[in-house]
Amino acid sequence: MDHRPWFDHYEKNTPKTIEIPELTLPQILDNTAKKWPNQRATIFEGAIISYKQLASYVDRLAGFLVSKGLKTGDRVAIQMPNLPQTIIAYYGVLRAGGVAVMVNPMYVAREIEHQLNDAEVKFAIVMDAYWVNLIKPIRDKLMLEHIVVTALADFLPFPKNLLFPLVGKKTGLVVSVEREANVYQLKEIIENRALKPPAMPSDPDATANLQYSGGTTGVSKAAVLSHRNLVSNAYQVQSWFTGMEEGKEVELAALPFFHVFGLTVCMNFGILAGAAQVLVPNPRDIKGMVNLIKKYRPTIFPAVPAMFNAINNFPGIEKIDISSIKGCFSGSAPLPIEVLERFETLTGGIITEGFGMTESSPVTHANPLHGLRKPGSIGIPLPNTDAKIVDLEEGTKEMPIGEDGELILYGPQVMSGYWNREDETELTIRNGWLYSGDIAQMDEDGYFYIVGRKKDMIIAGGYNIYPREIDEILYEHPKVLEAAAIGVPHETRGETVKVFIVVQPGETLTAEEVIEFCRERLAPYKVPRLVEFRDELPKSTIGKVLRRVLRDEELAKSK
Amino acid sequence: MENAEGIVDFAPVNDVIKGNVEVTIRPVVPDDAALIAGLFNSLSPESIYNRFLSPMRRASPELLDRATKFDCDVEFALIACIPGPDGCHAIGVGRFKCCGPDRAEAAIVVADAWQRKGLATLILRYLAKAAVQRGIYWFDSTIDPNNKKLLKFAEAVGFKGTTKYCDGLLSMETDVLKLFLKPQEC
Repeated sequence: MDHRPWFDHYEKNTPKTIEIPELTLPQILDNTAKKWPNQRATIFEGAIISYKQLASYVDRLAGFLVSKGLKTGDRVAIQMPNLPQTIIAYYGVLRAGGVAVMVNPMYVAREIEHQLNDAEVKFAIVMDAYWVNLIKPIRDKLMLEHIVVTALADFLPFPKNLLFPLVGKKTGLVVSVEREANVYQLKEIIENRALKPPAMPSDPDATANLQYSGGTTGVSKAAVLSHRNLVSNAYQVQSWFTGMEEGKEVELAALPFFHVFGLTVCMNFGILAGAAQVLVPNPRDIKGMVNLIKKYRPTIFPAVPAMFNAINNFPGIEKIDISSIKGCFSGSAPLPIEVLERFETLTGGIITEGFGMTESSPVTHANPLHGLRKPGSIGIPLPNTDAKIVDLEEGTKEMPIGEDGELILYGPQVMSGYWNREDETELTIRNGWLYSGDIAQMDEDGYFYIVGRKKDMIIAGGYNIYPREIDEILYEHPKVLEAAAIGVPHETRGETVKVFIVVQPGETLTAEEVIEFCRERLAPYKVPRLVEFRDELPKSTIGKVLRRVLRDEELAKSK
Repeated sequence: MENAEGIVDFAPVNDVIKGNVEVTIRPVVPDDAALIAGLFNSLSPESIYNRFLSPMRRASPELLDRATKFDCDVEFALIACIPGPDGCHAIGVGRFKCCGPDRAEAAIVVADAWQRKGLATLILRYLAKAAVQRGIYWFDSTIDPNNKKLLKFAEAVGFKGTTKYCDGLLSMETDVLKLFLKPQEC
């Protein structure tokens, strides 16, 4: 790549271009397990799994999946919070030559049905409670043939493994799974030493993930991410975290692995770096998270602004030693400067703010950890990544410094396209460049700034939400005449969902009813937090609904 | 025939679209509510979204009122019909409404089964003719640019993006005269 303005701001130890080996993700795990067999791979509620153990569990699961007929390229759904089993399942699927379809545990039946059928999933590895409560009731509508289940307690240490089932029943996290054909227990599989793995997958261009994200037409679509995409991004992230030592770091894995941010920046990067991952299955439990920091002294903490903010505001945090944290990566929403400053004061560590998309595995930009960090900027492109600002209309003319345009991206982490969505792929990938749909500017130093969005999308707490999906659900309500969802600014989630409703004449409806209706049909992060009733929605002269008027009104109110 | 404002009224015309199907195109009248409701009900969710930029499910009485009872000085609408088993059957509607001295917002919707037969272009051409008679020289339209089919159609008939992707939408405009004089088959 020719010289780019941002190269001048790379840290001394960060090369402009890094060499990315021709490896698959299971080969990365294999290498790490050979280099640091006894290093802790996962720490979960006090239970430790070493890299050597992790690799052997992965091998056994892969052997099992192949014995049940899994073929190279077959899709396997994985639905779990951050547990040791999630890593075993993910790497087990890839080790078997399968393609992982990570399913958000917050999804409701309607969303699960769409995703599993869109990906034509025949195998699933899921937490037992999700199997019993979410998937089994809709099994007739799915193509599932083999289901591997795991209990939350499966990897708890003694005596928690015995106590948890007693406590967990009240929370719905412990369920009884009936013995039935084609439903298997993960614990039994990984204890079966007779299971032998198939040949190690070695094609970096094979698909690793169908990574789902919202869709403009109201249903989610999948980015096809290859091993090369994901391996590249793990190496790129590693090159950015200067000052970290392989095989020695401890990472607080609070970002969910089913989300591409957690998948790469926590799980895959952690495995590449031989880090010990302290698993946080419920990142909303701030007390639990603070205790984990105290106890295991993590050095790396990738997170979203809401997590940094919650720790900043944890009662008595000033008296708790959280100084082990050296480096943090913040993404998914703008990080308020006061949140950054307080967290850095509390920890003595550094937060680098970055940018990524599901379609780019995800990280493309970040501020240098030990270099010039510009508040409000997403930073500069990572090694091997090129970026441009182009005109909004045609997307062909490069814009001058400081002018608005669409951010486009190029690099080994960019997806090949969307799964079974040729039209959308054609719009999004042009000559190998990923058209982000974000309106951005670049300054004279090569730092990028997001200033708007070309897509009608809400990003709340790192999740992409398309207003049309929410509108469609609202229009299903018999008392709703008209509805429109928009994103409104939120201090730590970036944005949150607000809906405007026009009630059918003669009917009454409350905000609580609207929220409850949505809660039954949408994952919690999509459920509107705010509801406003109106006599009519703003429309253009010929009746097109004008969401922007609603958004402008909200922005004016917040100023 | 001219109305009180000196505007030439639009006489119903018969024209032929792809498949050698004859359609009648005439101005919308207040009695057309049932025909337009029938058209709405035949539309796919995608077509409804493209027309209203909202996934509405039903044509409310308010919507039908707005579609059929309007101030003819500032708004004009055409309906395309074919003979059906129970009389006439609407397969497309196009309209414009003034939003400036020489400018109007325009929109067309065609029943899914009748798309890609040149009907939208035909309606647009007649709308353009009526617009010029009213001193309208620019048509504006707001579309979802993610809809490639619609974007291609708009560009092929002469609409150009005027900027501002606002909330994901693209504002487009076209010189009505150009549209009227050089219709493209789409």
